[in-house]
Amino acid sequence: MNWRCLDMTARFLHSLPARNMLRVVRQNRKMAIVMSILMILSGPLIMVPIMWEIIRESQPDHSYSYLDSFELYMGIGFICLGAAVFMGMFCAICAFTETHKKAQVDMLYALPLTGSQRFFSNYLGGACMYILPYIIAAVLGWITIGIGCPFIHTDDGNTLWSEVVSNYAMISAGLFVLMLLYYTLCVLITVCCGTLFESIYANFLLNCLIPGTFAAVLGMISEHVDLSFEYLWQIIGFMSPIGGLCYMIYLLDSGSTSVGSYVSWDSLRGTETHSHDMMPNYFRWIVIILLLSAVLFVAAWQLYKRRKAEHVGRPFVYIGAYHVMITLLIVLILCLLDFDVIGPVLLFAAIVYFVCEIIRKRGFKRFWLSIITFVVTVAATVGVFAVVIKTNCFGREYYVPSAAVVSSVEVESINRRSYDVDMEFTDREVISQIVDFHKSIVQRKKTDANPCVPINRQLDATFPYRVDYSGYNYYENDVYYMTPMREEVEYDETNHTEAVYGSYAENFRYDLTYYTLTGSVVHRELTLSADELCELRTILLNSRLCQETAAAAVKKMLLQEFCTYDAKTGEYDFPLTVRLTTYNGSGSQTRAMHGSMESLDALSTAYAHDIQNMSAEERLTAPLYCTLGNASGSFCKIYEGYDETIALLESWGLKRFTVPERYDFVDKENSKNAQASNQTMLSVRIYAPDQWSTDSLKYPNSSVSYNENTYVKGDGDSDCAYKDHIMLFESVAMQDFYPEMYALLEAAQEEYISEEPCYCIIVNGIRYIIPPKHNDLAEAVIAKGDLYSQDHLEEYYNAHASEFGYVTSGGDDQAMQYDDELNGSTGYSESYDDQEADPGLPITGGTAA
Amino acid sequence: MMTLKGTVKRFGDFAALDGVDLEIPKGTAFGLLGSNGAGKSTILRLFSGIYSPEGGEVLIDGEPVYDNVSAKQKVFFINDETVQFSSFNLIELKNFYKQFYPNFSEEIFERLEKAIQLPRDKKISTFSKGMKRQAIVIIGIACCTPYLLLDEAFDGLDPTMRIIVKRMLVDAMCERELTVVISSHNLKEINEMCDTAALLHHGKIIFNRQLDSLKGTVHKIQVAFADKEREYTKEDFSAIPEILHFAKTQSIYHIIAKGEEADIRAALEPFHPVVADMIPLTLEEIFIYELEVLGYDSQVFA
Repeated sequence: MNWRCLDMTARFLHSLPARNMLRVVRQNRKMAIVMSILMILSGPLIMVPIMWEIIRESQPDHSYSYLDSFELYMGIGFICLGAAVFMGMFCAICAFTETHKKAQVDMLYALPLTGSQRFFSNYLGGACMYILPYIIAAVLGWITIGIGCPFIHTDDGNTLWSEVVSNYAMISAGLFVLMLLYYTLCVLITVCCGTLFESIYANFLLNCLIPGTFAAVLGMISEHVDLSFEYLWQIIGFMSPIGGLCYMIYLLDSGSTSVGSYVSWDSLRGTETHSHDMMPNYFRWIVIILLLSAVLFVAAWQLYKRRKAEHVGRPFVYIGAYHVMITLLIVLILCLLDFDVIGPVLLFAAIVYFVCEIIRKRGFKRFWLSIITFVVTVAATVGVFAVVIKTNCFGREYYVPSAAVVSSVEVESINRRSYDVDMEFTDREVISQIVDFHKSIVQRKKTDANPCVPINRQLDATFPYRVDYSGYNYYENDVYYMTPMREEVEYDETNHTEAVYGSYAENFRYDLTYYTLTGSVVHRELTLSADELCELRTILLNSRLCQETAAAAVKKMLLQEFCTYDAKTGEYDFPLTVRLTTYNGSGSQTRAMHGSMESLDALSTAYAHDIQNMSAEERLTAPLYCTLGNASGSFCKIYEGYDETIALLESWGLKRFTVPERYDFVDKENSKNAQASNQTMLSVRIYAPDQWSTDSLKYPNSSVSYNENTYVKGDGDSDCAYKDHIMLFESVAMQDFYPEMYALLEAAQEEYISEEPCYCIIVNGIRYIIPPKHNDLAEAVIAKGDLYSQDHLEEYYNAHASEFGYVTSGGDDQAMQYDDELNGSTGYSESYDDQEADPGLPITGGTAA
Repeated sequence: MMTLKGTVKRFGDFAALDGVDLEIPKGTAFGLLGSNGAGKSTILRLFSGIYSPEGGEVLIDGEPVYDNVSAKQKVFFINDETVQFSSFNLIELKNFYKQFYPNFSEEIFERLEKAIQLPRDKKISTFSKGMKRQAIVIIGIACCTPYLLLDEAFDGLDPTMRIIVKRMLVDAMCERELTVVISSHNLKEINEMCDTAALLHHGKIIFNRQLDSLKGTVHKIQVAFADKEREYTKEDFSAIPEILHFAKTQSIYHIIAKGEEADIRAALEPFHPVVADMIPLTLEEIFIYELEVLGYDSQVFA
């Protein structure tokens, strides 16, 4: 048998096509050598540091040292790999020189080979140059893994070892099929071209345009039609090598998550549960990519057979390739640019189109035809877009699978906020509820003449008017002064859309993924109103899966954050620390107690009950009670509706922080320590809606998440005033502000969802919403702020001259200088310094350093 | 035998060959003559299987050539460019072709290479134009194919080398009944090398004859008549089978005519020529006068 194989191999190598294949390799040996070096280097450069890190991290005693420049080696490896993979395009071009070099045509076409033999042997020759080095690199990677795996220390058998092997196998196989697809696509494009210039630029453009344009089209459609963006991956993943690479990463990434694998402890935020194995998808994808490569191969072969020797020198032998390329380019331009500015978009598209036409035609021959083609292309593109959007993607947007055929449904929040999850539900009742909910959304869309717009969009527009209480600070004669200023900013739509949309314009968008019994997958993206969000949350949070996951997540978070795991015994080192924290933008306050596993069980159980028992209204508006965990690390939020949890915490002496505790915000008059109040520093800004009429707003809401400072944006000249750093409330001013600010901060909520426009207050860079019922509190602060407007400033300080011993003066420079010094001198940090008590005893009163 | 049967080859709207019929018997040294763009190189590329015909047939020993390995292995084509060999040295080029032509003779290659003494290990890109041509010719001969097609094969060769190369070809023809098809503008070489030639113009064959008979049937006649007052016209000599050229210088008439010498003399006899000299034409003159009849006249630029 082996002899027969050898004999066949020998016969093949002596055949004329094999000789032509070797001719291809010999003629391009310099490129092959460069590529081999790059590719073969990449294997160990990537795998050795990875294996070293895996081994190092797996050692309980950390006996292996950190590999210096670990990332650098890997980076060089990836650059080598990327460069070598990219060179597949040149392999294809060089393997088929007769397609673009006139001088080669006579020599190669005259050889005693048929067209098919020439094609296959050229293809194989190029593939040898391209794929063989990769295979060698992959084998070197396997050898590295083989050498390294015995050194991996694992507590749970061979899990990590097998994970490394399976991941490497999947990645190397995926990359192999992608390289094959890329090379074959490049061969196809090369066969369609007749000059070297066209071969290079068509290869480059088409490889980029195929995924790019489809991504842009899908992105554009998904802006108007609520189809999931998951479709994008589903489609472009099979359309091109670059798209395939994105899809492969997406699949590997989705496969790497498991229950609670990266819970960020903001309630269930970020919790992912996937019972879905991505391996079948991965293999399906590999098979499809291989099939696609085969289709492209056959297409290239047939086109090569049909192309004539004399066609070399034409820019495009098969003009279809050019038309595909130019159409994709025009569609991309039309998609990427805004249709609201159709004139400039069309002009830009026309310039690009006609430049390409001039290059192709090498002049202006029959240019009228180009103009007609351009008009037809644009009209067809716009027409197709219009039809797709008007028909809601031919009705696909409204399709909801029957609950009976759904095996599981995955719910994923796109804009992650509290309660947001990425979970897969298999419970029949939950599936049925989600399907019904989805149907009701579809029904609302069908019947509502003015369907739900992205929720915060209108509300954002109601914040053009700002009352700013941050001010210039300067330091002189050891006396701190504050010069609060009131600034009214005229409504500027451009600035506001930019500033606000980037921060939290998109709201309540969920992806639903139905996995049906037939194996098909249906993705839908929903844009929800506040009520609808509430309804969906109720369904999800009442599910057993959510409760179990929440309880497990809380437990795991506290264990990981505050206990040491003993790998030998497999147990946690108690006592457990339960810590309440609060973060005020410049530092955190903590309360902690030491507990046991029983107390942890009780806490997680109470937490699971609470998220189920919370009312729909509370889910939108419940104020934050405290955060449980580590403010600078993992934590979860406890809301005021969490009665069981709060009762448990309070029984342990862990009560919520009051405003003065949070901000070290002391009433000077009532404080025994007047000096302490002098050090109270806050940066406060209030954003007030100016369009109080909400008749036109269907679902205006506001929602803020923890520490989302990006909303606070300086506007040029007065940048220093808007920095989210420190704002000194001078003691006299403090006294004046105390009751109003105290009340306002008491009412301020980090998250609040309402149908009414709300005041927004930013304290030390953290944004809070003032519930509408407390508008008067915000207005009271604003009214009081008038006292400190620039007009009255000098008058004010002069009136208090005896108290200050100083009359105001100074400018911006001084203010900035002061600001710097102040930052340096006060040194507020985010670290906490809790005062721990004996185990079992409540600890209170920790303050920021 | 190499055969074209009603062969049509078009490049876009331009018909390079328009229904050409041609037969080149084995062992022939065949010359292809023609104006620029007449279709000479196209015929060679059709015979070597580079081009596929749009109509008609292109056969070698009865087999179609295009996409046919066995037919293509019988043909070696040397085109008028050598840039494609630049990356090879002589030995690499030999080895390259040796792989594809099973009858390749190392012995012939060595003998020919010895005769012209080309550097073996230098890149062909460093060769002069003539040396490149010598290199590919000796490889072409060494491939021992029954048919050797040469497109402007003697371009760039110095006179001595031309003689050497011609001898090589003649030797090969004598040794193994090699059929050589030469396309050239150098009519002297065709005249020297070939026994048969075809003249092409605008994709059609004007004539296809053995050179000896061709030369015997076209004559240049210098004739003066007794009646000096009379102006003779071409039409007066309609008895001559075909007049290619008719001109008068003072009292002497210059006539280029096709036909047998005796027939032409008989046609002139009624006009009582005082002088009637029949001068044999060179191939170049035949080429020029034949094409002049078809409107391809060098005088248009005069």
